[in-house]
Amino acid sequence: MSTTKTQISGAEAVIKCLVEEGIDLIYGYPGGAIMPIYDALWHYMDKINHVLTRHEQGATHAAQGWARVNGKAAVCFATSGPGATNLITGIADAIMDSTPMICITGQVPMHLLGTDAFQETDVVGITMPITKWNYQITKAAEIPEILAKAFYIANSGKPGPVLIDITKNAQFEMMEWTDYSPCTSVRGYIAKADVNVSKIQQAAEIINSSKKPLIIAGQGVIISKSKDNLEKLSTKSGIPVTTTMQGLGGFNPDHPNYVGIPGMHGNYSVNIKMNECDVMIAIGMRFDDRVTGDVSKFAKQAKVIHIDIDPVEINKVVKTEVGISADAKEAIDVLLPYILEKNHEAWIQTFKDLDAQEEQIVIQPAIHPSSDGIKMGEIMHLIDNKTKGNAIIVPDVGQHQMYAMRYYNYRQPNSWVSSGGLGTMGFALPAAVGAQMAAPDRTVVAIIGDGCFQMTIQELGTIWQNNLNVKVVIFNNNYLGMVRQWQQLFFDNRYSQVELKNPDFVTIAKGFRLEAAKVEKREELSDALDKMFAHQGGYVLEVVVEKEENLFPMVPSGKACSDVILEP
Amino acid sequence: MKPYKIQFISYNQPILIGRFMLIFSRRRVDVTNYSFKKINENDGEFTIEFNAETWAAENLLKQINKQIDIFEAQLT
Repeated sequence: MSTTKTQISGAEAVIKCLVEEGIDLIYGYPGGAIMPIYDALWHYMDKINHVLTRHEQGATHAAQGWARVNGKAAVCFATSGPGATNLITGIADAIMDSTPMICITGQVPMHLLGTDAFQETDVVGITMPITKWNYQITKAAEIPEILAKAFYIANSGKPGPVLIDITKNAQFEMMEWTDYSPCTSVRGYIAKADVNVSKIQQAAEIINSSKKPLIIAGQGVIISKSKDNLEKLSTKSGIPVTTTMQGLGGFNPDHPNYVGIPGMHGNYSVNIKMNECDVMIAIGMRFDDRVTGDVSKFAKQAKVIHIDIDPVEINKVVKTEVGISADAKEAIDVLLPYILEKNHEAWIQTFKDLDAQEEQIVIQPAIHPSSDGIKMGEIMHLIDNKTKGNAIIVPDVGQHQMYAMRYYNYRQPNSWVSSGGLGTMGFALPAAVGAQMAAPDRTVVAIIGDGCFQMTIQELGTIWQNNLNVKVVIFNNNYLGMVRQWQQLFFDNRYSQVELKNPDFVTIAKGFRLEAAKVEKREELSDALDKMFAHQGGYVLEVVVEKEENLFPMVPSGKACSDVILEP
Repeated sequence: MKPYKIQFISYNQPILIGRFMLIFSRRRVDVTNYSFKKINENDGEFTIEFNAETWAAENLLKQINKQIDIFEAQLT
């Protein structure tokens, strides 16, 4: 290997490290303490595209959207102080949803640290509990090693966000640049454990003797790219599969063993059967409270086999019979030869029997409503039909998110880009920016409520400036719909601060020079969607939906999953 | 609840105690003592004593081990 040595600034070293890591896209927002890095970037514009978002939070969500579709760490830049603190929501979102991301923040010069200097904030201290790792660089010579370590940590094992804070003096300081060495190990850090074969054999024995087994697959299946492996496991074993919200796209929804979604607004049958199965095989999921309901009443009858790359997740929420800390794909591949060929058709039929009730009481009225108002379920059903389940759906957070989860058939992995763990309103619009740039040939549809839309509405400017083909569908009910539903059902109809007097969204979108339209009647909806999909470029479609639609099925808060209700 | 002690080696940076203590404070662990001792130019030894149920103590050890900058953690 040739070794070349040249003197460059710390700022240029940052950019060269990113180029070496294969980064050709950065989301960010410049400011005083990161100006040397932006100046260095100017010299590398032929190698790196920088997307100027309208707010640093937008940069993080765009980076998340890119990373969730691409599976690799995305990069965002921000300056010190408010620039850095504006990243916080996105970083917290990324750690909750295991999204790899590198945030690089400028910091005041080293001699001003701790003096309450202009735009100084202790972003390393602030982000300690919400990053997989963070570090403050104060000397230019540290930059290559630390950035290499940052990428390795963000991308390996259970992915997550890393924040690197770089003081301004380190950016200006000259250093000797030699050949870049990517990081392949970090002292004390085990990215993923080897699959424990004896535990796999224990798991196989339990699975092979089970009568009513159920696989719950989460986002780990998508991150480890094990959709095909999971389908082989289910096909061979005959075991029904449910995918968590974040696991959507991790199993073919048309597979005869697919039974739907668990959790608060998941499928009726799955919620009931989770408390009837005799063996529960959880793969790449973490038993979120929105999945389990009252955990003291969750799957107590079942032997739980839990496969997760993060050893902390094993026995964290649900007591497991066999805990396997491993990559989902590797664990499935080792498990598969030990599994006997079986079928569980009678057991799967019990799901189908309950599905018929949900179909009649909930699904048909949602997608073919008899009421005047447009329902959220019918919009998603139409979008599903028009895109054949192959679009990337980027929902925001609330009722519309749950309808997007329920009424779209996710046929490919990396097609559901949603803020699952943190539940960040305002996520969708900037995340759709990132998703579209990660997959420019796929249709990207942001599903956004009127409340969410106004949290990051300024990113319409990013869509226009970068000529991004993002389709935005606003489900406008002039309410914070999910909160209103809870106030109706659990707070005796006391609607407290949930009604929104909204601006004219079409005029706003057109102000950002985007095409836009508004639909208020059912008979106009299908054509309006066709027009949106036919348009080349960003498009905002506002759909006025039924004002007080309630979402079912529902596991009432604090209840067991099997207490799921189909109607009030 | 029983008294436990987690000892681990990390970098010689006392400030890291803040990062590690966040794990305990977030989970409302009954911490009874903690300390930092420089052991060489690069490394330091951190000790956190606390009361917990056995399963919780074991899970805390896993949480500690998960931290990037921690080496050689043990629960006693």
